[in-house]
Amino acid sequence: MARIRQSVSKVKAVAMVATYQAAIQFVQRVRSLGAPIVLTNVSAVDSDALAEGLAGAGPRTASDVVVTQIVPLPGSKATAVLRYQQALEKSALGEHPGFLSLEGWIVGNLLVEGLKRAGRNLDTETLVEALEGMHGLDLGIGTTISFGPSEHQGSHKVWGTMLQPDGTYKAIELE
Amino acid sequence: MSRPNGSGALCATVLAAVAAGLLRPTPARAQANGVTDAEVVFGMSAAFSGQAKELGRQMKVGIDVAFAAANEAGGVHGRKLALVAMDDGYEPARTQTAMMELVEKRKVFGIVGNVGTPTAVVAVPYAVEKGVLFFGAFTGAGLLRNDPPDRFVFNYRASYAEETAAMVRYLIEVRRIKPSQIAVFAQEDAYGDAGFNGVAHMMRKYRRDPAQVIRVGYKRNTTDVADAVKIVRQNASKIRAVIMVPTAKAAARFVQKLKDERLDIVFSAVSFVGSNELADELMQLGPRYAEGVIVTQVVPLPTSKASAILKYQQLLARFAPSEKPGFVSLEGYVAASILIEALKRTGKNLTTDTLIDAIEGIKGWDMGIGVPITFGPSEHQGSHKVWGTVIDAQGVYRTLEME
Repeated sequence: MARIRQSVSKVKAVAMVATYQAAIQFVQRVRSLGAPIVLTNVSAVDSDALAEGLAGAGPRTASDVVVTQIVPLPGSKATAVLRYQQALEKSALGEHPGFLSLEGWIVGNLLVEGLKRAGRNLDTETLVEALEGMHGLDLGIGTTISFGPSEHQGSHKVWGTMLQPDGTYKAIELE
Repeated sequence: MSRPNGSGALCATVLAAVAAGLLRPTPARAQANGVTDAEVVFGMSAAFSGQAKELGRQMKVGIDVAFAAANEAGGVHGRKLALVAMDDGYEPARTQTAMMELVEKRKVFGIVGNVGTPTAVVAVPYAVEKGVLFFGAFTGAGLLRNDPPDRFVFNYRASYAEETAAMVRYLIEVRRIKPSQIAVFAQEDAYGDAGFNGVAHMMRKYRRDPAQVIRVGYKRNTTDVADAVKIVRQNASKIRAVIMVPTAKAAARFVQKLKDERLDIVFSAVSFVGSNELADELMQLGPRYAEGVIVTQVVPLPTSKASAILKYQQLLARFAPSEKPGFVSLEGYVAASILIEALKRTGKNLTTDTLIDAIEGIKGWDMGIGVPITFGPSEHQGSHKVWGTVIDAQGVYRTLEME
């Protein structure tokens, strides 16, 4: 923080790779400098906790906070996200849609799809092969999922979101 | 084809069906809104009055013709297709009323072929909230193209971002015009913003700050282009091309005034301009106003001899003999044809969910327009294709190679 303060005239943006407690503290202190600095964070921050922590701190603090996401907005009306919201309502009463539980839901669905494809004869090998055979699976999250023997990461998609003063996130174009 | 007179006008398809005694009352059965064993009723809110009325009228002609052909063949799974069209005058305030009338009073099954971006600002959130299908609207705006896409919203056409990207690339790569020499003439609302954003996106790729791009405009449903013309004239030494995001009458006036100044400027417009109306307006002023004006299209030339286009021309001659082939009615026809294909695939059990699943299952469907149509749960825009066209001295659109 001291180094940001020293170079405040030069710094226009800080890319944070932090957990939400540290990020909240950092954002508040940077904002107290009064300089127009864009603050970004990666999805691992726990966006919902970050939003909750910053929304209470006033609109000036929460502005120009960008978070990159690897799942769509949990409040979206896309085919997969509507299914997730319905499942949440049915099986996890009291839980609000959020980025982390959406990610868990997608991962769970991919595993279920892999299990279906593996068939009755289930062992680690058959499941791994079934997962590696998954190409262009479209759940309706805005990108298709593909695995292969040389590809063990289903999605490469990144969504941009910007924190709003009311503690919600708005989609932004990153390009 | 009869044209709707004011709000609540029933479409010709319905009237014809009633007259032919085809709409027998059906026994009450638990089916989706607007669906009986004998028919499916769709709704449409568009401009049938005001400056943009040709767009609404032409879209409806295209949809009517596709529906009429399907109905003549016995309907889809025994159901005749009907369209209830409401006039919103291209004014968002009236779109709200029209959408509520269609969905809550008329209980239509889904919405097809709405016209415009400012009107979609109102209509899309309403349809999504109500869980009503919103299909094949005549707008390329981003708000109908969320990522991931809203379950209930489907587009046929390429986006304004894709149209303006093709245009900016053409001007820079083919015409060798510098990014700094490109200005934008855009309607002062969500439509103009959507087009400008597409240009801005490309400008960033060409390392040009979008804030430096000269943007001029006019108010929706007017032809007040004097200020826009004045600013372009003042910057004439710097401007070599203007990308237009307007409706036809405003565009024609703008081009006329600047061509009168003998300025050497390339004019181009996005498809929403209403290409045939634009060419007609410019030709009335004289061939020199029309010649060389570029329009990006999201459908092929309506006079093409491609499989789907020949069929469209035949059906138009049959069901709407007073209508000449045109870009907007062709788009309405294409959108409605995709909807009909999805209804066929859905089968007898027709609900919003079964229809949406069927649309999302359409992959590489080639109806013969030059591009296969593909949808999916993550892809709600059937085509990404943009065609370049340019008006010749006879007022006819010619293909323009854009790459």
